[in-house]
Amino acid sequence: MRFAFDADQLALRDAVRDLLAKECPPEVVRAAWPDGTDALGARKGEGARADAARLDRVWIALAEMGVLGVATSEAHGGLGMTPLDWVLVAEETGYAAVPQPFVETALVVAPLAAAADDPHGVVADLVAGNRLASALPLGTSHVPWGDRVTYLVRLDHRPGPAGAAPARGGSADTALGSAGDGSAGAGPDASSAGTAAVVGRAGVGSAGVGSVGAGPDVGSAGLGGTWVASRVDAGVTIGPEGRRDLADVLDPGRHVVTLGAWRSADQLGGPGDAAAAFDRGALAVAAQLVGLGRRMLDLTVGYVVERRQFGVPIGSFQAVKHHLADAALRLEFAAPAVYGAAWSLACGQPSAARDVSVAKALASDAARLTGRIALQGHGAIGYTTEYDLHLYLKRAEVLARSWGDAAWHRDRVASHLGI
Amino acid sequence: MDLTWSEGEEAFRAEARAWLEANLAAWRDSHDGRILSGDTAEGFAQHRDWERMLAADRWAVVSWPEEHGGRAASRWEWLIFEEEYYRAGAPPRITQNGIFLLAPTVFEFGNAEQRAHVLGRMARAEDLWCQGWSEPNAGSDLASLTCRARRDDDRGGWVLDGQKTWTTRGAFCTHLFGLFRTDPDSERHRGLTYLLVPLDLDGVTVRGFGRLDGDEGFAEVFFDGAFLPDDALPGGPVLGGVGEGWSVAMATTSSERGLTLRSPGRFTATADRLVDLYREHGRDDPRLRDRVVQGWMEAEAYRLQTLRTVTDDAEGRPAGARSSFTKLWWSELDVALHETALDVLGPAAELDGPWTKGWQFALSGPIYAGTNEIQRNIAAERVLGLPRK
Repeated sequence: MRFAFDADQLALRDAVRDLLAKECPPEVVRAAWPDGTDALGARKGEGARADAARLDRVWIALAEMGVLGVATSEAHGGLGMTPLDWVLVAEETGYAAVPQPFVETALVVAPLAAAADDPHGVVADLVAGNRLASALPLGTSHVPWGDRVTYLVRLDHRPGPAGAAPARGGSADTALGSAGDGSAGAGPDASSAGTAAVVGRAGVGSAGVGSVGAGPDVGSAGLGGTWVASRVDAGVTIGPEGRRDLADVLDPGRHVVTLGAWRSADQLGGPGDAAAAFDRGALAVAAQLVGLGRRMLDLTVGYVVERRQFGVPIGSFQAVKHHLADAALRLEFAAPAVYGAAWSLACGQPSAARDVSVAKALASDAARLTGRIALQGHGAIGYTTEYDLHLYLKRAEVLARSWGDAAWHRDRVASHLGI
Repeated sequence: MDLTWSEGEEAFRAEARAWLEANLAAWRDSHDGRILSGDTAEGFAQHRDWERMLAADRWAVVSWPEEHGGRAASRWEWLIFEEEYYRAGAPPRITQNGIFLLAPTVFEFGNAEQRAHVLGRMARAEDLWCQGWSEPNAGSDLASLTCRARRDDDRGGWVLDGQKTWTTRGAFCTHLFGLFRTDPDSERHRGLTYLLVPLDLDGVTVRGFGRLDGDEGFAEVFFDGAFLPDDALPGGPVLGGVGEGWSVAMATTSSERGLTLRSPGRFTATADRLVDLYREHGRDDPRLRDRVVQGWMEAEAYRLQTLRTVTDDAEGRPAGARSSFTKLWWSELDVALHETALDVLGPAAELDGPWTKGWQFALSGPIYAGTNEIQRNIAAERVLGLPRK
């Protein structure tokens, strides 16, 4: 029994932490916001807004360190590391609110494609940082960094007894058609989607186009059912010019694009590969939420020690102390759940999926609570776009509800507990 | 990271499980299956029997050295024992304030004679210890305590005056460990001395009174010129140095707040029972199920956080003030688990039963061992670094 990371794991974390402290300060996160943010109050003054080129430098630096291949097998040019090796890296990318699809590209899609023998020849480019990937878990149609990703994968959960899954390599069209996951439901089809940007390499065809149907399949993700990963062969987006403006989305730095219609082509890997990909994503986002929580707590502690009212630092008031202690308490206990789930996933424990859900549920709630407390601790300054807090607060809120929100994951834990 | 137990640890678990299963049944049978609360006079005697059974087979204090009745169990084995203990449904320990709060202090500050005398008798439940800290006007503000111990060199001992209160199981215990002001001119944390006091001294009056749960689990202890001789027990009644009581006492507060007093096994067992309760009652209520799961997850998080804490401690990274987080977590978790159970039971929760009883006890968690307001202050000031004033 030993619940601690080894020296190599901590060294990798420290290296990523140092890199992101240098390359991904708040002004770089802010630079990821679409044009026009300034007019709505991005911080003015010297050094307030980074050159957009610095955004690319973050990704290049991560690629050069090898971090983008951390979860991908060595046979496909990655480092072949386990969740235990990269969970702290994910936490640091949360702390820095890295403005790229790190979880999706490096921890979900690249290793998934590699496990499926890279049928589309993308893994090398993903690991090298030459292209971005994204993933759509649980029926969501909102694509983070959808204006930049060129490889998109759906991760769907099909209710029903395990083992009823289509065979690996089977026709995705058949799988989708028979599972009735909403892909054949009503919604805008390709021809009516208007001035949509194209996601993926191919053009939009007319056959087998899916669309937004049923919502996330809450309640069906327990012991039964099967995971299916399928590449979105072509998709169309809705919204002006395929891109949302500031008023339309919670966290403009994520460049979310809504997929209005798509065509799912090849299935990527077998059900086990798809299930593992989902658990990696949920775990990694849970780690990012712990990192975001730490960031917001650090910002707030720094602020309440400096800010004086009634002649004293507001951090000396018991009401403020107790709020911050509550946030720290929730993070203190969410973090071991995340690390423990990383171990379970790394070792292939039978409880791994349940443990990932415990981690994601606790981390989601901890980060959301910390965000509210951080905002309250800052008072009005926190409620401005000039101050940095909102960058992290919005990212946390979005991630808390991505890859299954806390309620979805509690539901999955319940199924594992047999209730 | 390796979250598996070794073969030796699994063997230890199996041995503990088998012993508990056999002996719990035997103990219950010896009382005709009618086990009362350990916080009543009759129940206390039953539970003293249980403690003596534990001690006879060296299960009372597994982590202590063998010379004092333990098994020199590692911290990991101690956690395993606690898991098995509460999983088996074994009762709360009437010896806990001795073995978990006083004993670590005796190991650290006691002289050889005190260790030899106090620890073994404590482990065998021959002496039963209660904690004499709180006073009517010194609760959270413990340093304002006014119980006095005046030195009497002519008779060779200490003369005690004052009153302690909210003393858990004081009406049934034989001894009290407590803080007394030995320097009459001192203030606050200075001039205090940690004393070991037999409760059968002349001039000591113990009056039990009812707790919220109806048991006579509290007592107030009056000292009216009670004479505590230097030979009241081998090695003398002063633990640590005269006037050093505050720092000696603080050594036990970290045990109390940390995992020692309330290990995760206690709460994972309760959470598992809550899951069973929900299943057995066949309630199909998504909101209730959500709360059951939340409680189960928080107990699991406590288990994992403890594995981390114990590892860190073993590798030279002590928890320090972070032990306040631990106390906040288990005390608030315990209330939530029991509230949820009462909601699963529905109207039947009005009747007396283990969950109803447990709920009433859980309510005390955020109060004892340093109120949760004090713990939040400590966490904010000493972990987060916020200014005291």
